[in-house]
Amino acid sequence: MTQQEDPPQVSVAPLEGLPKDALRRLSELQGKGALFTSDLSVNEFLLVKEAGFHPRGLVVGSSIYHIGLTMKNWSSSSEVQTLTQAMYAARELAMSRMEEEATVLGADGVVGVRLDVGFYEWGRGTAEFLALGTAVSAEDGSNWKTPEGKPFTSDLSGQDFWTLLQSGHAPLGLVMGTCVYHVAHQGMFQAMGNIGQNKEMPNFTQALYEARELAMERMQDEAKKVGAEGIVGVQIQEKSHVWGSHTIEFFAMGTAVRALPDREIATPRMVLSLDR
Amino acid sequence: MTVVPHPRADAALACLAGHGGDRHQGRGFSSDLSVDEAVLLKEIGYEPRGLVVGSAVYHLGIQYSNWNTNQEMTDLTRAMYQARQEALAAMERHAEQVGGQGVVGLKLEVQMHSGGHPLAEFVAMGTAVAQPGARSSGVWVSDLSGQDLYLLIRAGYQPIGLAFGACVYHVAHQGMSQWMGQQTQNVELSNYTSALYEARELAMTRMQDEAQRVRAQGIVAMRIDQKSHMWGSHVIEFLAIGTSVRLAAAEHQRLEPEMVVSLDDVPDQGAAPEAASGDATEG
Amino acid sequence: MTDQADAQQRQQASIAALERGQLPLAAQERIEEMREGRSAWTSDLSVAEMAAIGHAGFEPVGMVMGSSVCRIAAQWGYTTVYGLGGTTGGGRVRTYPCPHGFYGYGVGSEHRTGYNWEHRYYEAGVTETRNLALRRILEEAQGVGAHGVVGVRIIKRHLEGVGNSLEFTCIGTAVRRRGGPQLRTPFMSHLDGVSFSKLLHGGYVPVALVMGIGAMEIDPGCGTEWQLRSWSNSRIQQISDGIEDARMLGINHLESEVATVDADGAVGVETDLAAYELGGESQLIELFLLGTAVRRYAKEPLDEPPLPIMRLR
Repeated sequence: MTQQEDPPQVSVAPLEGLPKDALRRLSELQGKGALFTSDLSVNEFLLVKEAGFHPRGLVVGSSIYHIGLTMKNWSSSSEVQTLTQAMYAARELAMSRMEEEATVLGADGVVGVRLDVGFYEWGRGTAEFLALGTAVSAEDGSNWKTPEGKPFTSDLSGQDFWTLLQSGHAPLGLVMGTCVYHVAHQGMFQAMGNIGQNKEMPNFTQALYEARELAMERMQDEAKKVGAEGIVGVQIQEKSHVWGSHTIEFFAMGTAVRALPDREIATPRMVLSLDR
Repeated sequence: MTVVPHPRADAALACLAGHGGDRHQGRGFSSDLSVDEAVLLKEIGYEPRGLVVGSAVYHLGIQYSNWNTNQEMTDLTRAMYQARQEALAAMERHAEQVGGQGVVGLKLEVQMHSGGHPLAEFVAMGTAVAQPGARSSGVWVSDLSGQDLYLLIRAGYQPIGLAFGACVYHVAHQGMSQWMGQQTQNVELSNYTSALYEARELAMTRMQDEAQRVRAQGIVAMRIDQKSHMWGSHVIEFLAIGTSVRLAAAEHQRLEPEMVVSLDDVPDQGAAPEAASGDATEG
Repeated sequence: MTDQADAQQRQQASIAALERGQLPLAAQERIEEMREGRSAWTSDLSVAEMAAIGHAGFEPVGMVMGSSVCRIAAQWGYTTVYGLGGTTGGGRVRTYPCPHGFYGYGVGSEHRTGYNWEHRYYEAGVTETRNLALRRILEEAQGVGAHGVVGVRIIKRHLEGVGNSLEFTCIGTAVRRRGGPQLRTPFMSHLDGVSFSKLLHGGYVPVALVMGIGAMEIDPGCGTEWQLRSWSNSRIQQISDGIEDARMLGINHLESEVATVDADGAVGVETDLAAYELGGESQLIELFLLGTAVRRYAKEPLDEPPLPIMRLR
């Protein structure tokens, strides 16, 4: 049971830079007349073109984190800060690698970003965080990068991206907030005494409220930092991942947007469809 | 009530009564095209030619490797790649027989046979289509729908074919569990990160190389699948697959969609769906 | 009391009419009413369908139906039907010899050969039932002076188990074009009114309902039974083959019907795969396909190309 028993083949330092396979692949996507790749559907591809952008290539970022801490029976409901930090850092790492791939391509931004958490059977509490999206460049050479000079990121689909621009806004970047919360076990036993009655379980309710607010607040702070006008398409996920039902991660993610100057907003037509 | 002339209805009935009609050449097609797809294909000058199928069965030997290292299992990669190529080639031959120039709606599935001899059977199925009067060399294949094909062609593109790249990767996992059970910190496992990165990138690069070989300008609607098939969770096949396209017109033709607000009572979208977070292994 | 006697008499007269090849009395009466416009037409068309049909230059006439219940006296078991080492008279057969090297001696013995064989008798039974139902709905359509029937719904049901009675019913809405030429046979389509309109505007006209049927009986050999009882995740060859063959037979049948009605092809094909247990370990795999055969009457594109839209809601 000592640490000397099995020399593990794992290193604990974070990976430096992008893997060289990634760099090789990205280099093929650069230059005039280069091939583009994208995971946009045909509809999305055409709408991205309509918006005045050209897809450059699929960009990927991933990180593998061990997040399987054993939870002791805590007697109070509170945030599990080490887990919150881990979930945040893991996603940030995956996202920043994806952004780096986009930067190598010289792209203006990344659309259709998907941020998935996957588990491998052999992992035992190890999760792979995968960020995937299509890097795009503006065809007229205009600048769409963030105030820090980085490509924008957004989880908007091709359709939503086009519609956002039509409504006079531009994406700034994905903003996230997360909070891993543990609900006290003792509270559970108290609640068991009320079997047979329909009663609210205030412990749980309060814990969920608290956690959700923390996650949303952190997401809003990120948006403020980049000077956003607002956040669109916010998704909130509540998941226990590998920790058992008393520990839940609240994860909020959306796209921060800024207003575009002098955009004329078209009026939509009203239609009634005959094929429902 | 006076009869209002309706050129389409009158021409249709005349065709049924046995006079006239601009009929297809060749034998009748069966397809799983919907009415919408059939009409849209006709708009771009394509005719359906029938359902086409191709299959290939491959024996997958056990490849022994050093279980302590992360590495590609090159024999398996090659076998899975060739088996798919053969199933597609068989389907293309069937398409040629029915006079097709392309295949839409491709479904490429694999059935694993474990037991005495590990076998992988690949089945490729789709609807063959053709542009009468157009010259073509070979048969292009894509998993695009009839609607997708219509839109691409209207925008000035031509599908060239399916582009895919595969990589079967073995992840070293011995000695992991005990070590991980003792961890009290959250750490990145850069070994594993780089291993899985490498596998994905290899698959994507191979897909890109295929597209470049046919002088494609781009790949649309690509996806990356990862499956363990029947090998156990520490061996994963990464498959990057998409449709390669080339601009046939001088430049991209804009569609200029109109924004509409529907007056239908469509059920509300509700909360956005959760992002997938299931096992990364094949069930 | 006389009411009951009247009812019985009417029932007998109706059965007699069916046996003579005519429609039942109730149907004959309703058709006459519809033809002479004595009652408002009824249909199960939605408002959208009505609008679309009108836009295509047609008008609804009324609902029409064709139905038939037939007995299919099928026999199961390859060795029962064809004997040991017999031939099937042309249907597709695959054999699965005992992997242990024994030769089979009929159902029940531990080692036996497996057979997958096309059950042509069953296929013929389904086809004949369908033909009767189809003939009746066409007769009703002709009776009301329609040019065709749209939105045909099919009910296909085994009433007392797969080898016994099969019900085949089709119900749809008859449509006509005022002043249009008389057709020898009204067209039939399982596509709804809106799809009919899209099809017509797209240069295609429906011709007939076409069907494909492939029925493969699977009599498992001992090798297959052993596989079925094993724990491994493996593909069972005999059953996979049975499904594949049923599928190809069904598609071939559909294509030959398309050719028979002199059509260019079939659209909107729906597939239904069913497996019926036959006793012992045998099963019948039935693949049933239904589509609308169409002819292209005009090569010209749509009057206006489809408008790309972005739906905000």
